[in-house]
Amino acid sequence: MSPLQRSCRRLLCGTRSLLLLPWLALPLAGQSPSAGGLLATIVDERGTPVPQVTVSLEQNGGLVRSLVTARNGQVTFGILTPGSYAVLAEELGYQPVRMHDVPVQAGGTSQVRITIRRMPPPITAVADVPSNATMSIATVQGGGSDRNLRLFPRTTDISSAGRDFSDISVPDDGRPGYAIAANGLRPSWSSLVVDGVPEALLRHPGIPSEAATAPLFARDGLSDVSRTGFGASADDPSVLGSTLEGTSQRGTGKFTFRPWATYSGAKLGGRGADNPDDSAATSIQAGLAMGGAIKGDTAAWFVRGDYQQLELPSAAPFTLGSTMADSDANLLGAFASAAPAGSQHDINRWLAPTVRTWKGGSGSGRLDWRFGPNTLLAVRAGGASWTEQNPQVGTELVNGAGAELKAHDVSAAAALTTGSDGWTSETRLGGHSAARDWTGAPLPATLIAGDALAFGGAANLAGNFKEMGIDLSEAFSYRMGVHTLKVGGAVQHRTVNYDYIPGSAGLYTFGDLGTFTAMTGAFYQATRGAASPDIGVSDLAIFAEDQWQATPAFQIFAGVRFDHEALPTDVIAQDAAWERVSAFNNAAVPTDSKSQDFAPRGGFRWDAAGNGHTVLSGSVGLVPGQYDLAAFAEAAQFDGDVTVRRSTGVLAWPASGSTAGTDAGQALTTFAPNVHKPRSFKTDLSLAQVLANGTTLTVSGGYRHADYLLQRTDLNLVAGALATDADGRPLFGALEQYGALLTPTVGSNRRFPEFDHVYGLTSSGYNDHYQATLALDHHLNQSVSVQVAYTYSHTTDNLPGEMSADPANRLSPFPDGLNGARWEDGRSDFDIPHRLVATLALATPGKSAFNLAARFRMQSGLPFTPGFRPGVDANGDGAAGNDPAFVSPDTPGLATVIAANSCLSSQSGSFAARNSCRDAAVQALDLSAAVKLVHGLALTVDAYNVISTSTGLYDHALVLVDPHGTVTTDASGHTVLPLLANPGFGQLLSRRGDARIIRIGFRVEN
Amino acid sequence: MRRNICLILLGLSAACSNAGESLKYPSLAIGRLAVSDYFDRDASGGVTPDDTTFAGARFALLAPGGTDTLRTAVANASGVAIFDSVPVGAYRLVVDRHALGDSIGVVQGDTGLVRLVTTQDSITAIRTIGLGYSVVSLATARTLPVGRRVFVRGVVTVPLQTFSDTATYLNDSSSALRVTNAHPIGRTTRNGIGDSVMVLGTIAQVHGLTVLDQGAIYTLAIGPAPVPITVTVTDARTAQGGTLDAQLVKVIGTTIRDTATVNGVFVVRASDPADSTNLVDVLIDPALGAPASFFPIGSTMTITGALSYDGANVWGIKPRMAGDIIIP
Repeated sequence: MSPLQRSCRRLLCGTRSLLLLPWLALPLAGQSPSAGGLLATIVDERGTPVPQVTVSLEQNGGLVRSLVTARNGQVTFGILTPGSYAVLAEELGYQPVRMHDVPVQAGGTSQVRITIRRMPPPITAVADVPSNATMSIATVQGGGSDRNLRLFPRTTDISSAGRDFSDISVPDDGRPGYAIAANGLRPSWSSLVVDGVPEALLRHPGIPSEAATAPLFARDGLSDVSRTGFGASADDPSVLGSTLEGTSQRGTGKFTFRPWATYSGAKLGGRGADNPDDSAATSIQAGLAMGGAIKGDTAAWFVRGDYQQLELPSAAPFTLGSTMADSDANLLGAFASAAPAGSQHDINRWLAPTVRTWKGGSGSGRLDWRFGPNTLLAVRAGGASWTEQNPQVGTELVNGAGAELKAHDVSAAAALTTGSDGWTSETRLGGHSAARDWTGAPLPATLIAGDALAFGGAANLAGNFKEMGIDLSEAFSYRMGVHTLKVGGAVQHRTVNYDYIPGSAGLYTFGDLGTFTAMTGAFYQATRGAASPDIGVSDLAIFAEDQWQATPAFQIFAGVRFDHEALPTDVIAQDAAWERVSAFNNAAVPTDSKSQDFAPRGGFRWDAAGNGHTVLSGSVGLVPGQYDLAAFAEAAQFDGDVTVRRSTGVLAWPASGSTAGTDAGQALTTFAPNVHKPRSFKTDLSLAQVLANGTTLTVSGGYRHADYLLQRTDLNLVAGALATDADGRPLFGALEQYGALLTPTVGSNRRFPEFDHVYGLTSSGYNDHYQATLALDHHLNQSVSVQVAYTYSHTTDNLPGEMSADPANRLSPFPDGLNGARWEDGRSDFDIPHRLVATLALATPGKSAFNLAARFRMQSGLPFTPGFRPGVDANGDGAAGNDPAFVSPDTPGLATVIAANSCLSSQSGSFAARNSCRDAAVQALDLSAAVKLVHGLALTVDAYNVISTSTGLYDHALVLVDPHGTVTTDASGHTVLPLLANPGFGQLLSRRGDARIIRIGFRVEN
Repeated sequence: MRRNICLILLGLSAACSNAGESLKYPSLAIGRLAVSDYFDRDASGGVTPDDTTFAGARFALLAPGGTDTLRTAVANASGVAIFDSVPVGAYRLVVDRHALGDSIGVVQGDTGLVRLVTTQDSITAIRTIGLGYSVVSLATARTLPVGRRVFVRGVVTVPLQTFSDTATYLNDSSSALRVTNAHPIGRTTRNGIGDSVMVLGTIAQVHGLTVLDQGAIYTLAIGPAPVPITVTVTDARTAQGGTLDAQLVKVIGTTIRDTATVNGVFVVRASDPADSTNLVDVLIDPALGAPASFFPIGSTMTITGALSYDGANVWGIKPRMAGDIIIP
């Protein structure tokens, strides 16, 4: 079989294997987080076990190990690196058989049954057969393919593998990374584990929805990627979200040399809308992966590296239409002209398309050394360094021009696995370091609220983020008859430094062209003194588990895990002034309650017929999360050392600092005294049925309830509403109007005037997530396969503003409730109910092998709350992005908008419910083709987003502030806001998303 | 295994355990705002022995700059209203005017902010609110409806003991006013010309003109005698269309034309020396005791006195003492 054919077969069979994972189980010789096992049974054509058969385990064409079958025809490879293997059975007088694509998963034992037939000599070829592996692992959830490591690598790092899972919500605004939501939770609750060692997935902590990347772990350096939605095993540290797990590639006995390179250009098949400036930006990628043996099948090495220089033009930053407060035909030009002359204040770069660049490389290596048959030492190390120019930062309106990211990751890990048929011990040691240094453009962030325009640096920049961690863990398992006991522990120490103050570069908000020209609006800036502190966090985990094979068909497991996390108590300074006026100690540090550190878990698996064709499995348990270090770092920064400067009226744009505003008081962030570590209750149930003619159907569902999540409240909000508007909206500040902008008078919304916002963080947040997945895996023949996975989910929570980089937007606009209920209890910001991934793979055999694959992905749009334009603070609470609109047909022009949007019609006469409307669904079709030329050289063509929907930032403003109106008071004493309907409600404001890219290249497979 | 199952069940119950647990941020420290009111009977602007408490006054707590009422409290018989369990912070305390009636206003204490902050011992704030009748100018008093009780502040031009009808006359920079049925408050029973006084009375009308009836006079200070306004005979007779009613005026160089007793009042009729038909009456109060022989016909007379209305669109000059009548 050719390498290309093998690649295709790996796709076909590997995917099937993954889908089988939840219900195919065997008693395990000893579970290991980073090693698996293989049990091969060799029988003749009558089904009789054949002893003394030489069984060789191969990987990437190289020999891994060889053993001889016992009298029962079986041979066991006890400790294997997870990945895909080939099993070769040879015996004199029999036709040799090589079974391909046998998966080995960490913590599981795969079983294959190979039939060899008597054959008189001469024997000239090995018979190739597909895998019939069954395996046991109860913790991995499918729903998509995780083996497409060589397919659709739009970005080469492991984080892009999330696009192959239907139960993962991926970013649809052009930003790469692993998930914007998993289990209905923000991505910071998900994690990356490679070779059983936690790795950095370092995000901008001020952007909760940022899907982080990990270029250090490139696809060509990985042999396996999976996703764990529920770590039901007690030794799985697990997280509230999901864990992306990878296994680094190891060398084999065969020398491999696999260079690759690609080229793409903005004009090579790109869309005009994605490149309106007709940029000639080009991108190149090149890499090399090599491996081989050091000492037979005892030791092997593997190294890889890549370099990428990517240039991607952006779409026009603003899609201007009739939605704006200003009707100027050349609005962008008008704003550019209105800005003071001079290059320092040139705003054109933010009003025009830009080119985003990514430049850098990564390298890694791995060494495997086997000491005897059951002791394996694996060591890996690597690093990545890259810079990004003009990256899109979060979901802010500003297009990212002028921003820069310098980043580097370093990681090293070692695993020592040893044992016998009855026991297994695995010791892992890892360390990592990651840094992200963001700088913003010199011009302060400037928002024109009424026209939904923005220029200048992003308000969430600059920021410098570092994380270092070291992990040590031990897992020991021992089999006693039908029971397999497992105990172990882990210690981890992380040091993070999140040097970041939201709004530190200044934020100007104007209403429209007129007020921008007049320089009247609002200004905000947070200034600080000392640098952010290093935060050292220690974690200790102890676990025990029993797996009981009650009957050959019924397996039960149960365990308990103890997780204790200790936060430093000396990094948050006590603010005496705050304590004096409030009696609250802002330096309160959450501490673990011992009773809440225990997390029981359990599950079952029932193989109805004992052949793996009908399997029902389920699991239930508690998963303790970890403290939100971004929040902790915020409390350590905002501990009396941050002063807010504000101003309204005539501004000194674009000045910042002392010349731009007046001291509005200290800003604090403080934990409530009773903050708990977050946790999640998770349960899964799965029914899998292997149908005839190569079709497998899986129906699975799960429920997650995460609680003790952090909710935000402003302790320094004025003691009660100052007034009520005509719709019943409580107003917490005296409103000033500047054209299409409403903003509170500085200090009017504060309880204690010497302080600005004082955010209190409580454990009152929760998240409820239901999910059901239907997966179909159909193999038409050896060359064509289809996998379809559809996931439906429903997520509710009480955590508004999760998509926003401004912490103020996570405040409830109705802190005292609305009509006796909590307005924020509702549809989650991450509720993306429909997700579909369908993959078609075609592989032609022969010397001129041709592989073609297509992947179609669809997911619902993000939900949103019909409200006001960003920057408008309709209730004067200091948050300029959290106010829902009042859906009233009495508002001029709104009856038409209500009639045109079904999500509004049922809300007439009330405040818009949280996330009651939704952006358009996003679809994308990717194609990948490879043609083998000669000597393993293949020509590759990858086309991403061949067909896709336009997406980006949508206009979520249902109403606009009428720049020609004024705030008045009616006869009842209620405040009347001057509002107009926004005819552009729901339309695209800024086109963003994955552009169409066509890459041509080559790769060598040997 | 049973133990494991128990652990799972325990965990499941723990998962729901926070359902009834308060995870909200603890409420801010609460304090007490005590409001003490008094009725400023002497319009002194402060608490004096003459003042009393005011039961039933309704107070409202508002956010600074706000118009929506957060809390209300009503003063008890001791004039004390308590806002209990008030979270620390800044507030504005206002008096519910609608509950006070037309006459009573706030004279002190409902401006500015009340600030409750935590201290080691107490987070109680005490605010004193002074209530009282409104203090108005004499000109404003003239515009008020009959029956409104008000304080007026002015300078005595005619002391209450001057005339036999117990009236006293005041003026200020805005106007002049006659106080009828006046009586002193305090240890003194008299007052003098030039005294600064505060008079609490009820708006009334006599012959269609506004007076302050039942005036209780608080003498605040002694001052120089006010200077009369020099007017013509015509102005004196018409009080300049009524604007000089009760004003202390002076007419120089009139000619005495006649004397008579009209309705029991001794009247000296004087005219402009150049126009014998342009007459003004000088009303001699019995308390003055001036005989007719004191006013020789044809003599020149300079007269000072308060303008007093007779109900027929004619004002007369009412001298206070002999010194107000100068006949060379």
